[in-house]
Amino acid sequence: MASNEEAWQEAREEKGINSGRTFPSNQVVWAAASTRDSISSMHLDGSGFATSIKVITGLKYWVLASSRRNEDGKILEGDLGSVMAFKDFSPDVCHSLWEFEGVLLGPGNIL
Amino acid sequence: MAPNTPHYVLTVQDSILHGRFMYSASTSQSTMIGFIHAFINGFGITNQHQDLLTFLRREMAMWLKWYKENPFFSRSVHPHVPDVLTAEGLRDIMAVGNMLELATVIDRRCYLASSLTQKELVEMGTARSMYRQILVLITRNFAIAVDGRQIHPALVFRRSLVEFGAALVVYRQEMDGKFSHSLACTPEKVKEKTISFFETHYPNLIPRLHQLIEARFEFLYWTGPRLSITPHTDQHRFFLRDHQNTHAMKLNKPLEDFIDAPLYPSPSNNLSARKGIDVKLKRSPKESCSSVDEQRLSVTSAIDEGIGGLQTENMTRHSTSKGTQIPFTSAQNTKRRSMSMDGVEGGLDLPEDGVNFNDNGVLNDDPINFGQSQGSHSMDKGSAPEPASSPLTNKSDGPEHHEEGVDAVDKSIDSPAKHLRKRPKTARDPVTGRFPIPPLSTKPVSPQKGGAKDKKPIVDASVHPARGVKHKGEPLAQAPVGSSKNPGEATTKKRKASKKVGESSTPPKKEVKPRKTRSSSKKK
Repeated sequence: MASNEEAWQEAREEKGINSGRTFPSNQVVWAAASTRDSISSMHLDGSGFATSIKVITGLKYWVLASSRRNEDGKILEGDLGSVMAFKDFSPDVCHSLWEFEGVLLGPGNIL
Repeated sequence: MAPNTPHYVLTVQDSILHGRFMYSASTSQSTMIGFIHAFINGFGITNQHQDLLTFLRREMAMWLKWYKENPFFSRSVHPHVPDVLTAEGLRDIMAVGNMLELATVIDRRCYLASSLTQKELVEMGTARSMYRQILVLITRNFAIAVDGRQIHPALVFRRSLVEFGAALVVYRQEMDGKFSHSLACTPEKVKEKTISFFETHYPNLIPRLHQLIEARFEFLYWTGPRLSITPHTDQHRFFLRDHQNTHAMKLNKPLEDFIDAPLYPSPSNNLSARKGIDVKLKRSPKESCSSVDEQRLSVTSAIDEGIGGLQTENMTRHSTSKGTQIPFTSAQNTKRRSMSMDGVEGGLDLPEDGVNFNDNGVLNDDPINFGQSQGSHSMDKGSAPEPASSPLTNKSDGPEHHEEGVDAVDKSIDSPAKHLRKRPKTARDPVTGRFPIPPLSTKPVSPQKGGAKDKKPIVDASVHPARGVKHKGEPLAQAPVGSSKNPGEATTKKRKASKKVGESSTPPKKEVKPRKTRSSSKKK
């Protein structure tokens, strides 16, 4: 799934690519420790990244939002591909525009 | 978790987790949208990272590598390379490609005083070049249909790009004041950079860009008709000259523009524009730049008139007018560039953006030229600066530099020494292989610059620099010693004659004049 890691290897010798740069692990590999009842508010991960997490210990409740679609699959109001997606951004508005799905993750679970 | 997924997290029990960010080729469209959300909305809703666009640039390099090797590679073997034969794969490539094209608009550092490193600039330019090479490969090997009708692939890429650019501008305007922003990255700056980019690279799309901005175009993804992609076969051929097409080919004629949302206004004016082709091509640069649509139409008609000797078919070969010595202006060069490419691409206006193709159809793009042909580069102009001592400015080191790029020609035209590079070849003698004696032999030497002997090196160096090189090498090395009628004799005579003429034509009195003045001045 991580095409960027494959590409880093395959494009290393390509002309014009900065071969001297080392893989920026410090920016894309991370760990987080959190105490009970702590919350991270609604956000997007930066730079258009996809995210993979693995819970080492404890329990996390991960709530994901997506655009609403009608029966035909057409995106309704709250299109996350629109420039108006965050026009009136607030928790209340978010809940009215998007669909949410929560996942409880325990030790060993991977999202 | 896919890109562009808003989320929040509750910790039910004390926890430790391990995470990883990544780009996946299969979600490139969402990556692009998520990236733009992050760029526009700043720190308010996202975690920001330092420059990680290098990942996308490297992805493009990897994609190009495999498409170059075999456009019909096994998709199961290369899961990290989008499959162009699916609409989703094509849109994935376009999504990343659009980001690379507008790299200087969507990179916050380009709005700040701190400059990017030279290596990064080179990489940015190279990645854009790579995307364009992929487009060439797609155009050559695949046929694209919209809603069942063939269309030139370039139109699809351009529509995607111009809509993306417009949405970007609209987005920044709409979100002004909503989240925390850097002062440098203002809506005006974003718009200015975007327009500057299109003016430099895709001037024909400017009217459409403005149109979309005015209409408040809001979608960051493909909103055009349904795309279907197939391998390119003989059935997809279509010649520019209508009489070369069979009835079946005419029935399968590719669309010249989108029906639902034309990229180019008033394409129906082709016929009327064709009549004015000669006038338009002879206009002054200012006049010729007046109407983008006129340019396009006149270019189309230029192809029909056979300018450039193009006997081409749709979506097959790319060529470029090579080695031109005509001192065209930059604007005219742009037009000529468009001509040569339009011919091969079916009369459509293909990139006027320094995208050059050699005889093998390989893209010759100056990878570090972001559109500013000369002068100092400002990051506020929608273009990344061209490093003065970039390793890729040396054409032998460049990825695809098999010939002098058009951009380079543009630069030389406006340089003070332009005449030095262009005159010698036209003056070469076909018999002797040499350049004829310069005006030195027929005109009297200027009295103020001394005698013929003194003046000769000055003339060689300033007017015909290449002539001196030829004298040294070709005739002496190639002329057989024993042949009486060899060109060497003639040239020797010419030299003597020129010497005599030069000496005799030098007024002795005028030679002395400067010395007199000097001595007189000393006395004073």
